[in-house]
Amino acid sequence: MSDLGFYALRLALGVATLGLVAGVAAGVTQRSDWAEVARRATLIQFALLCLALLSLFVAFYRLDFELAYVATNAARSMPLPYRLAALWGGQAGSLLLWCWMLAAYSAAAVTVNRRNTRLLPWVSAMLCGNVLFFLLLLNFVANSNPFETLPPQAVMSDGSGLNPLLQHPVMLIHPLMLYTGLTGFAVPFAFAFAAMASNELGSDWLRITRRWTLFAWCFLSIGILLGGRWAYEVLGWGGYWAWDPVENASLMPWIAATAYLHSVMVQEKRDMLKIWNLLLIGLTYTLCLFGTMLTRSGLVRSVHAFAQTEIFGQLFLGYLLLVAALFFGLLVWRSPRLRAQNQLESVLSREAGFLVNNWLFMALLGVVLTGTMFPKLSEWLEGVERSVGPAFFNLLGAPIGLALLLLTGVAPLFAWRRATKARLLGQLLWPTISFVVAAATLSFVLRERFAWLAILTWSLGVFVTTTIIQEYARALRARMRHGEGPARAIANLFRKNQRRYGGYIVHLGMVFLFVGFAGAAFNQELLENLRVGESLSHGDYRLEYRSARAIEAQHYGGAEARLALFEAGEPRAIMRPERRVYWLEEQPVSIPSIFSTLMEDLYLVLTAVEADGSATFKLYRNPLVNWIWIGGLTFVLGTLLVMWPFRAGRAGGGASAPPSAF
Amino acid sequence: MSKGLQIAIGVVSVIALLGWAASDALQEGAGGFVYYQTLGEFSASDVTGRARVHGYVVAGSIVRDVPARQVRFRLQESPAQAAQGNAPTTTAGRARHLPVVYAGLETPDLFRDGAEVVVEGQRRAPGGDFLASNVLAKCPSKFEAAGSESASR
Repeated sequence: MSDLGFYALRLALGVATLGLVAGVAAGVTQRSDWAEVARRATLIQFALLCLALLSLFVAFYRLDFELAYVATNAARSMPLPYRLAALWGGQAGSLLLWCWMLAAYSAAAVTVNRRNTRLLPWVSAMLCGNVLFFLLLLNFVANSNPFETLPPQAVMSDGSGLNPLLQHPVMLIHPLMLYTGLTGFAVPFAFAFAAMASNELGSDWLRITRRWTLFAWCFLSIGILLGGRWAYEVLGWGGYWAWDPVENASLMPWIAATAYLHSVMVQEKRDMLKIWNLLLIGLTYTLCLFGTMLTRSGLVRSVHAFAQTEIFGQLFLGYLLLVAALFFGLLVWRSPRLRAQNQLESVLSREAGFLVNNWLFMALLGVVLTGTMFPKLSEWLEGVERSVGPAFFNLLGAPIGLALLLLTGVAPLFAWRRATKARLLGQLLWPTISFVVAAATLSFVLRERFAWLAILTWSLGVFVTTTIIQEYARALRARMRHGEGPARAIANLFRKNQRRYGGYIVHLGMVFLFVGFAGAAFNQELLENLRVGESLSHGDYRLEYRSARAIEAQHYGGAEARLALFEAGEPRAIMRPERRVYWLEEQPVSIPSIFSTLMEDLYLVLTAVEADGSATFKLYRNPLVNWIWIGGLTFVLGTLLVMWPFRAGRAGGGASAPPSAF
Repeated sequence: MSKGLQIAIGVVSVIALLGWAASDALQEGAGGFVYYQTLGEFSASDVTGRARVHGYVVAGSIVRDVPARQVRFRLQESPAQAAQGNAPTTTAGRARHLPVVYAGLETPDLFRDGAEVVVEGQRRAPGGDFLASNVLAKCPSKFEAAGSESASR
């Protein structure tokens, strides 16, 4: 069965090459038979990769330990879901998953848009070219082929197991979401490339790229959030985001894509910023590749990085430069045809708002990129490697983030072209009042532990929320004046202008996220060594160490401590932090116990069981963390509302939305 | 696009100002710029500011001092496997170890004898103890290539 996967990967090489060549030939000669060859090659390459992925799943299911990849990532004692998820637990398998997803997107793109005959040849050429590169890595680079077999004398009866940190429910889906997001940006990239290559610079490609970007962006957002959730529940350091290079690698394309999703509206409404939008699409995908290179080549030191192979990094860099040179070269060549017809008429206009938004996003991207690459930059410039800590990102990122938050409230109130001051002031009246009231109240309540940045963030959150409520109320009132009932008015609001009102929900999600982020200003921690019967206290809370018991699981052992949580003397919960040792991997893991409310999380880690029988606990008190997950859900709900095909019956045509079932 | 240029200049100058203020603050404060060095580089230099030092925990050197809320251990330049053959029993060998005092008990899960770690903190005097405020351990199972290479040799 694994031979099947091995040869499917080899065969896919030929098919992808065919797709690339046929696509280019069709693009140059405009011959439809070549275009058809390219389209079919894209589909066949997907079928072959499905076969490869499936046979690797089977290998993990059947525990074929003659495969080096299965032997290093799975073990008999692992439960089945983790055994299957081990497929993306290492370098080679996750590369295969990446390649499969790219092929899946390619097949979907050429199927959904098959009537778009002018763009399609170049689209399939670009996508097949991308798949081809990953196939080359999978087939020919050491440690990158999951079907590599061990020599017979090295085959063992059991594998060495998956990294215990990855044996967590969130890890079953986090990589899937992340990769669905990251690879998805290949499609808008290919369409933008095709539009420039074929000189079809109308509105078709723009509509298509926007939809695919939105789709990929939604999944990337979910992936990033799940990554944070995993870090919070597994890593046991009390936080969800550490500005680690691997985290930043997924954040950078997200920032670029978010900027694009905003500025694309300026092009749709006012036919401006065409070059800028193309630049952002190119940047987004380039950053996806850059991030992948960063995490897989060991270019920048990270706690989570994959294995370091020099040749891998060099190949990846070469490919990245090639793709970027092709795209941006084409952009320079076509730029005379992309000049804007319209001019910015007023600084107080929606388009100016979007422009500021874009500049801020670029600044944020600059901060993240500089911070991530700082060790390399300083090594090149000064000869000494220096790194920057989270303080760098927080200090520089916070003002930009707050400016963006303010803009989230203000910019949607601006009219296109030119906003009238009187109207604008009227719309800003209630939000401003609520901002002032919130700031004053919070300053008073928190006068003993004053943190102006957090208070500003929360007050801005109130400001933005008020503008959103006001916008909804205004639109609903107008509809209800025309005789629509409340439920019908809301339904129509989304049907008629889903992008605007769905977008507000996304913004509301961002507000919740910021509320949660700002809570970190009030984080507290406490380290205590306790014997059974003793307690630790923090504020109103008291934790009494009741007992400890040995854990006996199939795959790991260790200790579970039981502590009773009291709030103001009242019993609230039993907390059970664990300290496990995974036998096979010889790795200890602390599983924190989290008591979560809307106001704060109590996050308890069993740091160690000491030699004298006492236990050392670390307690983190993290306010408002739940709002991050609530914000994430709201955010995704909003994105779904924006993407939902409310008018599917009437749409049709060559460019419908990407399939929502994936 | 003179209006667009205006906006750009406005935003860029605000950001430049922020950057200047921030870099100023970062130079002084903790958690800002930190030198990253391997143990050999660190020992050779006379850095007394904050530093991140990469090394390997000397087997048997970890002492958890619970009453004092401290963990003490020593770092060595190269991995334990390589050192096993010529274990530094001489005082000259020991001198190349860096004694680390970590003020805390919550060491990472992967922190143990022979672990590859990065300690963050500073040395008060040249040749003195390294006072660590943070200890990071690397994920070994993700270093599959490096691990299998050294094992096969």
